Parts: sequence; C-alpha cells; structure tokens
Amino acid sequence: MPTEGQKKLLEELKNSLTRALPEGRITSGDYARTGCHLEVRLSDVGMRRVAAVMKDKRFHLETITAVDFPGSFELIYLYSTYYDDICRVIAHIQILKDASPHTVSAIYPGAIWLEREIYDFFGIRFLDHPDLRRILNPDNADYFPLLKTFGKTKLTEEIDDILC
Amino acid sequence: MLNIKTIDDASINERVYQLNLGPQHPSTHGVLHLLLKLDGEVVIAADPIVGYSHRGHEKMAENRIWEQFLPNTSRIDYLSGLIYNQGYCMAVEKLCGIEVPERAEYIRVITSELNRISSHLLGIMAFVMDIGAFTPFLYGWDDREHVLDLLERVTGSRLTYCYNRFGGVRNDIDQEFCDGTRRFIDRLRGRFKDYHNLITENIIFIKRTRGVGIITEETALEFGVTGPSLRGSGVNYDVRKNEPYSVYPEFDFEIPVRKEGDVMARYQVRMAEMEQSMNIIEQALDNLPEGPVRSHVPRFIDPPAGDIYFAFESARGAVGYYIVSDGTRVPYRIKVRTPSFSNLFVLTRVLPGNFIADAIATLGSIDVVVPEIDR
Amino acid sequence: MPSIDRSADHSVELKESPAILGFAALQDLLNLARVNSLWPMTFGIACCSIEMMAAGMARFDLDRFGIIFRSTPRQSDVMIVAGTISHKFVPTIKTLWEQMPGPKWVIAMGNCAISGGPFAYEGQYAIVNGADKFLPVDIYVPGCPPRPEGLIQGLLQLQKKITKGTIDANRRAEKAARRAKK
Repeated sequence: MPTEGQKKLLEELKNSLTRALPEGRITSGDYARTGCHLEVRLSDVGMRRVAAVMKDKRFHLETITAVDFPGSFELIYLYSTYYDDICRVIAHIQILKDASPHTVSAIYPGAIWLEREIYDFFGIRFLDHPDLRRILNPDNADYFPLLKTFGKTKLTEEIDDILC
Repeated sequence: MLNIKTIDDASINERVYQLNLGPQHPSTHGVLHLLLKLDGEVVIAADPIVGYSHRGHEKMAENRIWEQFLPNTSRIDYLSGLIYNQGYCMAVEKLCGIEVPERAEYIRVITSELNRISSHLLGIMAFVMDIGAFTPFLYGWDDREHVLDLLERVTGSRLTYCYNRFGGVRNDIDQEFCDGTRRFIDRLRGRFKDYHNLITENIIFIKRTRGVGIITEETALEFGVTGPSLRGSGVNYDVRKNEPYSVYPEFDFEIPVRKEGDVMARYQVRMAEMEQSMNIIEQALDNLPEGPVRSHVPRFIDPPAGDIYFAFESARGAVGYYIVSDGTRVPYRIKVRTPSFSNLFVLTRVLPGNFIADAIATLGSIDVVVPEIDR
Repeated sequence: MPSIDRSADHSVELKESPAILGFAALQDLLNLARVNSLWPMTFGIACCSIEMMAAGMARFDLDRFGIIFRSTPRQSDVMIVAGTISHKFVPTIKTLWEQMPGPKWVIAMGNCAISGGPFAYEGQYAIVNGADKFLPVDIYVPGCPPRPEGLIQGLLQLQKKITKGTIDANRRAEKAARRAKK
C-alpha cells in the first residue's frame, strides 16, 4: 500500500516530468505487477530531461538497458531512490535501429559504463559519450552479441521437440 | 596524502607511468585489470578493464527456457548464489502470479542469510589478507566451511546452488539442519571476539583503513552505489527494508550504517551485518511454520507477456532482474543489474590522489566479484 | 568424481634419453623433489577459484603436500586453470604460461576449463571451450565446481604422473626381474 510520503513524491514527480516532457506519456505503474511506480514512455529523445528531473529529486540511476524489438530498440532507464519509501521510475524510450541517442553521463557519471555496455551488446552509439568503447567483449570483436540477428536466438523448434 | 595540484603539470607528464594491476594479481577478487597511472606512489588515474570473465549470461537467457536459466543465476555471483537464485525465482513468480508457501519463504530466508554470512566472511577476510593479515583469512574460511557443510546437507552444493525452484524450494530442511544452524550461530558469535581482537583493534589495521578511500554520499548517488559500500557512507538503504520482499517484514533486524565512508566504515558495516543475519536466522528458526515447501507449478511454466523489474539485496548490494517476456517458454530479454558493476566504477573517482597501497585497501573493501560485473 | 589422467593414452617418455653417463637416478631424485613441492600460481578466474582457495585453507590444507601458492608465474610450477576462459582472456593466459619457467604443468580444474562447462552451447560467442585448446593440459579435474578433495586428488595424480616414468617404472622393472628369477 503506498504511504503518504510515497504518494506525495509520486505526485511531484509526475508533475515535474509532465512539465519537462510535454510529448511523453507518463502513467502510474502497477508496482505489484511490474516493480515500478511510474512509467514514462517517449520516443527518440528526452532521456536527458528525464535524467535532469530525477537528479534534481535525488534519485539514483539503477541501470540502463536496451531491448531489441523488430523495427526498433527500446532503451530502458530505471531510477530509484535511496531515501524514505521506495519509488521507482522506469523510462521506456523507443529509438530507431540506426539512431544515436544522447548520453546522460553528464548528469549521472555512472551511466558511462552502462552506455558502454549497451554499445558493446547492441551497437547503439551514444552522442557525446566521453569514452565510447567496448567494455565486456574483446576490443577487436566485430559482432554485437545481444542483437536478435546474431547467432542462434530462439531455439523454439528444438525446445518444443525436447518438451513434447 | 600528497596534494598533486601543487606539482607542476609538465613535470607530472614526464614522471607518469602506467602500471597494470592484474589481471593476474593475488589482491584482485577475480580477474580484474586496473590500469593505474602513477606519479611515484600516488595514483593519478585509474581505469578498470573488465570483461575477462564475460560468459554471455544474458544471451544464454534468450536461448534457454525459463527453468534452464536457474543454474546460470548462481554463477553470476558465485558467493551469493542462493540469493541470486531466490531473486530470479521471485521475479518469475511475481510475473506469473505464483504463490509460494510460507514454509518455503522461511527456508529461503534462512538459506539466503546463511549464504550472506558465508559471503561476508570471505569478502572481509580476503580484504584483510590484501592488507597483509593472513591469520584471520584462515579463521574466516574455517567458519565458512561450517556454513557450507550446513548448506550442502540441504541443497547438495557447496558453492553454485540451484536450490530454489519456481513455487518454493526443491526439498525440505530437517531437524538436524536447524540444530546445526543454531550451534553454528553460537559458535560464530564466540568467534567474533577473536575477529575483533585480531582485526578491529589491531593498530596496523586501523592505521591502514581509517580515512582511506572515502566515498561521499554525492559520489555514491551519481554512480548508483549500493550495499555495504553505500551504508558505510551514511545512507540507510537496504532493499530488505526499503523495498521488502519475501517474509523479511516479519523479522526484527537493523540496518547497520556508518557515516565516515572510509574503508574502516565499510568493514564495520559488514561485520555488523553478519550479526544481523544471525538474528534473522534465529527468528526464522523459532517461527518456522509447517507446511509444503513447493506449490504446485507446471513442469514448464508459461509466463504472460510483459516486463518486470525485481530488486533484492545480495551480499554486495542491490541486485535487479529486468525480465521481458513475450508469452513464450523462452525469455525475450533478461538483464541482471549487479551491484559490483556500479561499485567498481566509483574507483575512478575515489582512487586518484591516494597512494597505491591505499588503492589495494579500497579495492578490497568494495568487495567486488568480477564475474558479476562481466556476466 | 575421480580425475582423469589422459597421459595413460600416449606413451610419454619422462626419463631423459639414456646417455653414456647415467643421469637417470639424478632425474628420479629431481622429480621426487619437484613432486613434493609443487608450487601453483594464484590464478583463479571464476567460481572454481573459490574451491581452489578452500583446498589451500585450514580444513583441506594443501600445505601438507608441499603446495604453496605463489603469486608470480616466475616462481611457480603448476598453472591451475580454474574457471571459464573467455576470448578476451586468452592472450593473458598465454603470456602467463610463457612466463613460467620449465618444467611446468597445467591442471584444468572444473568443467569450464575442461570443455566449456555449463556455458558451452551452440551459439556461445564469448568463451573458449576448454583450456586444452591452447595449453598442454596434464590433468583434468571435473566438477562444477569440483570439491577441494577433487582438486587434491588431481594434484596427487599429477605427482604420480611426474614421477611415473622414472621411479615407478624402475620399481616395476625390478619387481618383474625378481619374479622372472624365481
């Protein structure tokens, strides 16, 4: 059950985010089902504005990740707070396959490594990133492993054979 | 500590040399490669190079059915294997809406807290050995062997567990496990006196750890630091209290916090956390309910489509599973948010300006497990 | 699980070639000395390294066999490859192997170092399926992770392998000669 403090914080956040992102969709999340209190959906830009609002409210960047959907990537930014009651904000930002999103490392230095990991796994280049190079795979690797087009991804037919 | 700002810039460039700390070095906790730029003994810049243990867990998740990812979870951070196991099971149970019987939740908490104790014992003692104290290392590992004996009786493994299943745990614990755990806790409480004599009150340890490697609260916020590294800097954040899961709300325990932010503070937080874990285990054993240990779950589960983020507290900090499911038997994407990834990156901010010996102490006190960074 | 000594398959001459001057007894003595003070390098990669450290600790105690872990490859005899080998890490392992002075041996500890372990699947891009793809492995210790007793058995098997061609073979030859006389 959300406490008074949580409700107040969520209201404030919703207002600040709606002001900063007129083009985005900001909805309350179902914490029991998805683990997030507030969901922000944007396309293409706006990650720096979201980061600025969250930094102002003393949230920390839990993680950034990407998901490879057919036709687009979805960048996921997860913010959460250390203080008082938990409040988690998730930002889904859809970008095109060859897009170059902006980096948030000027606001959250911890994003430097997180964005390097996304570049390493998906090949997404971040604009103005101070140190964009591979982090986990060898430096001379010529593949981006977490793309769905790389290697064998779904073994559904073989798995159905095993399971039947 | 030298004030490097007073040294002339040009003369630094001539004197700076690069030192490879690792990837094979007795002081690293896994295969960690730290590129240090040194001016004499003072660190000017530190660049951790990771990826030597990259095994492709996240890609493997997309090539396996949900149940087949269970063994992977305990190998991501092998020192908190049971905790990661539990977290993955809880995330998928939340996604599918599976209920877990209460006895299973209590058993999960007991085994996870035992795992936390064994991980802290190893982490603290390895850090203390990095500084030069070898005797506590032997004492701590001996205690750890007792924990591993208990867990092996119940789970079958010593290190990489796969004990949790969707809907509960694999098998029940017996009375001998409960008695053995109580005996172990009494024994460990007695051993804490030895540890405090050997380590905490040792003048060499104090001189090497007081005021060294300070992580400020602002730095921690910018880098997303969690765990004992954060609690040593004055922030009271523990997922078990801030975002309770499982049956943790039913137990009465404290979160140790220290304000100084130095290596000594992080060590004290870990020692106090072990005592709190022992409290939790005792309370859980006293109130252990009867009942089944696994709810009826189909052999191969079919989660609904959707995404979920589930956070829990491992020995190193806040872990999160971000799971995207597309309604099939194979996960679409599993991202593991590991605490060591953020905790290690903080060193690029904390190490410059310190001596290289302090760099070793700071690295040990952060308690990283490198396969957790590399996944 | 017992450790497998693959050297039984091929005949490895551990004796120096018999020369005009008989150095064989000296070789036996040297092998005996080497075997009773095998010094591995502290070189743990992943999960198996914890069990390797546990084998060196108070309960399982490798020190009673003369086994002391040395941090530098320049002073070690054995490289215990404990953990999964990623592609990024192979040049480092090769450098460390070349830095070790001979005679030197390799123990592949754990399923990952033997054949890729639980991480080997079709489509794996990140790891090398086993240490024997680029190192001359002498002893394989299976398990995930192997128990410390398993590692100890592997080291004892390595001891037998080092002295096998010399001391044991001589004793067997002497026994056979005595039986033939009777």
